Amino acid sequence: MVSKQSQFDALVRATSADLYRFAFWLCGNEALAHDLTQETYLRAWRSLDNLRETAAAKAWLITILRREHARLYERKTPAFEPIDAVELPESDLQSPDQLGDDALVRRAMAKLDAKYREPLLMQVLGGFSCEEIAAEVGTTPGAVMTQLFRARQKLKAALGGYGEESKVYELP
Amino acid sequence: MNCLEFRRAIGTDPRGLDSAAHAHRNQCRRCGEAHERALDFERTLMLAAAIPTPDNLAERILLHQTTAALHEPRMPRVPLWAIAATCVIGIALAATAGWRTFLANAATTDLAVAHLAHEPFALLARAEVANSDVRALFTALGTPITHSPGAVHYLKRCPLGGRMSAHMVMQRESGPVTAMYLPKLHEARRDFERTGVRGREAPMGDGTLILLAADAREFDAIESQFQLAFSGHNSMAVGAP
Repeated sequence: MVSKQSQFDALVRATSADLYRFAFWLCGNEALAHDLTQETYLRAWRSLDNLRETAAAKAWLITILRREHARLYERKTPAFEPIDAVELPESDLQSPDQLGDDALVRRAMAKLDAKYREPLLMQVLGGFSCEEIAAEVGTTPGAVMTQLFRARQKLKAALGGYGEESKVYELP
Repeated sequence: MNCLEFRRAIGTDPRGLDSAAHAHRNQCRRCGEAHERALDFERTLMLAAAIPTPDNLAERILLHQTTAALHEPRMPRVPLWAIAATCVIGIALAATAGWRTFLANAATTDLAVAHLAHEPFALLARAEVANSDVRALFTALGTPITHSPGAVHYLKRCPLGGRMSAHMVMQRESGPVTAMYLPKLHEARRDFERTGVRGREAPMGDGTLILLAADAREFDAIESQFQLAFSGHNSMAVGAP
């Protein structure tokens, strides 16, 4: 019999990195992303009995996280910089070339409108399908497909001259 | 599937192509190459999105959760007879003089401490709230002050124990101090501690000021500032020319 605490430990270890990253891309502030992530898991702990399927755990956590983030804005408009103005963290585990590429792409992602960035991150970080993203953000799968397509187009445009990738969506 | 549909598919989800898209990819060389480039870009996106996480993130989350769980009220399974007996005893106690007052007093500080968890982001607020906003809230609560009791960085009108309160956070050298002012509540001055939170309850104006913080060293100074803010109002009201 697995205890509630050990189930929760496994959940945190399996999902916390991606949840923190999603929180960061939502709010654009490392300290706030950390607090949002902690608060999300605290709420998750309190209602862990509601989680019936482990496959749904990440979607369930992202739902809680998005609500926590929305509550933050209901309470008070925080005096944070817009996400496209923040200094984005860089890993010390990557090569200088990779660091340069990542910085460019991160800047472009930060400048994306939230309605494009959020579904794209759910897909890229969370591995969610269009149907799952649609259920999460309260729209249709067709609308999500359009947002994902445009998100990539806009990133391509922002990263103009980004090697061959800029030609990916052109027809022959 | 034709080339246009295929390009739309890889623009939407390059890692999740269906069988029709795979079939097209295998028979169209240029679309196959485009798919390879799309997958390359997808890897670039994934690397960029995966910003570094704080050291020991999972351990920090678990520490926060286990600490909070330790202090959460436990809800043991209670047999029906015990609930019924408790109700009878409770009614009897409620009939005794002073019970309601005792209950209210005991609950106020607990409610204030519990309220901290409802608005944890308040402690992060750094932008100073305008003095006029602070005065306006106290006026709205029916307990006006003449000036702000020092720099206030978070201000909200919050319900607490069936009455409205002014919930403030003041960033001080020792860390954030939460100040909650409850009008029309009259409590004796006392210091207390709840689940690691240091607190002070002090009569102030026509109400009670509750201060909460991890470190109590600023309590005296803040209490004095509130006293001045209230007494200033009184002197103005009585002695102003």
